[in-house]
Amino acid sequence: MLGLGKLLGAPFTLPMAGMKFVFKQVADLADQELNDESTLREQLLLLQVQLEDGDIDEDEFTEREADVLTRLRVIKERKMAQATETPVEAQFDARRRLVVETPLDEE
Amino acid sequence: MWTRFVETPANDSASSAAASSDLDNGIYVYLIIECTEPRTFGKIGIGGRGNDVYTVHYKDLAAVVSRTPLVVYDPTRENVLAHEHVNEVIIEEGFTPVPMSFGTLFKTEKDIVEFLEDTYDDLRDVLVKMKDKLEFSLRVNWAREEVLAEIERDDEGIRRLKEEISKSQQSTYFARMQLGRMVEQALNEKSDTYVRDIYEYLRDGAIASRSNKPIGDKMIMNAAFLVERDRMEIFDQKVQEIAQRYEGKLSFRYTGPFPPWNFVTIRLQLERSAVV
Repeated sequence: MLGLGKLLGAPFTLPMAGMKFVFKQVADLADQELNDESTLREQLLLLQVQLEDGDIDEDEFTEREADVLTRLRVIKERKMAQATETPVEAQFDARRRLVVETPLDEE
Repeated sequence: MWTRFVETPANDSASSAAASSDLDNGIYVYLIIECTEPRTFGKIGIGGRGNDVYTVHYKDLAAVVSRTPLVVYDPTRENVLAHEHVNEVIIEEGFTPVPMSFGTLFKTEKDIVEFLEDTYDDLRDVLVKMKDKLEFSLRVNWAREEVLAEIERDDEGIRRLKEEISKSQQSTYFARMQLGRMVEQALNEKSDTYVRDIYEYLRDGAIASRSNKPIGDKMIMNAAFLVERDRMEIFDQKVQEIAQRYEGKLSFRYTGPFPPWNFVTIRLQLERSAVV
């Protein structure tokens, strides 16, 4: 049945799948770096909602908030360390630009 | 909401070194308002040090700020509430704020004036567009068990399948799988219907709305509404009405007014360019 076809095809498709797996791991790791921060921010929001809903108490909130913030700080510090690796002159040439977005425009 | 540390482009390491003996060597910017006269708004600055909240001016624009150590503020509940509280006070005073991101710091008042000057036209545009418009947040949780009970009571297909499973002598594995899928789909449909109905009901009360990702598994709706200041009461009324309609099934958490966080975003971007 369904399982048999898969089984027969397996020896040929495995190496390819293996390579894909490796590539995907590398890509995932890069993505993860980017996603970690937003995941942690989502966790902060969730904690606040849980506190408001009474699912966790003030003590548990404080403890878990501290934990998330510690992890957030580690990411930020790593980012800052990377940022300072860019050439100094590039930083001084950089000019701040204000980006104003009003989603209202689209309506 | 994100934290941003604003570096000034000019090389002023000498002045910052001199100022570093002073603990309050930075300035936190909460929001921008239209205001020509210097104002103070109380000792409610972020950081829990009782710093005065006051205005820094350029032409008819003012940044609402307080002095602070030059640190990166963590988005703790305490800090975020302090940031929000300043916003609330400004709104109560009748201003329409253009919000800045949480954690925006400048080194000197001169930097802030330069920032206002550089971005004057953009900020004016936003102020005109957002004049007397405020944001409200509406988060809706559902009592999943109640809704589930209602589905099992009212959905003909689900009820029949459940009966079959309970009567059956044979293996019910696939039937149970199918039941699970049907229930899941029915729950999703219910949730969509509720959310659509709520938006529909509140639509004429608001100028615009934005739907954000619900937080956690109890929440089915996480929305922001932009409302005219003089229509706040009408909108309020409508929220009460729709909340009553769903009493027992849905719980509404309605907060505001806030500055239009979801409808204006102001980001400071570093622009790499040799031409200044």
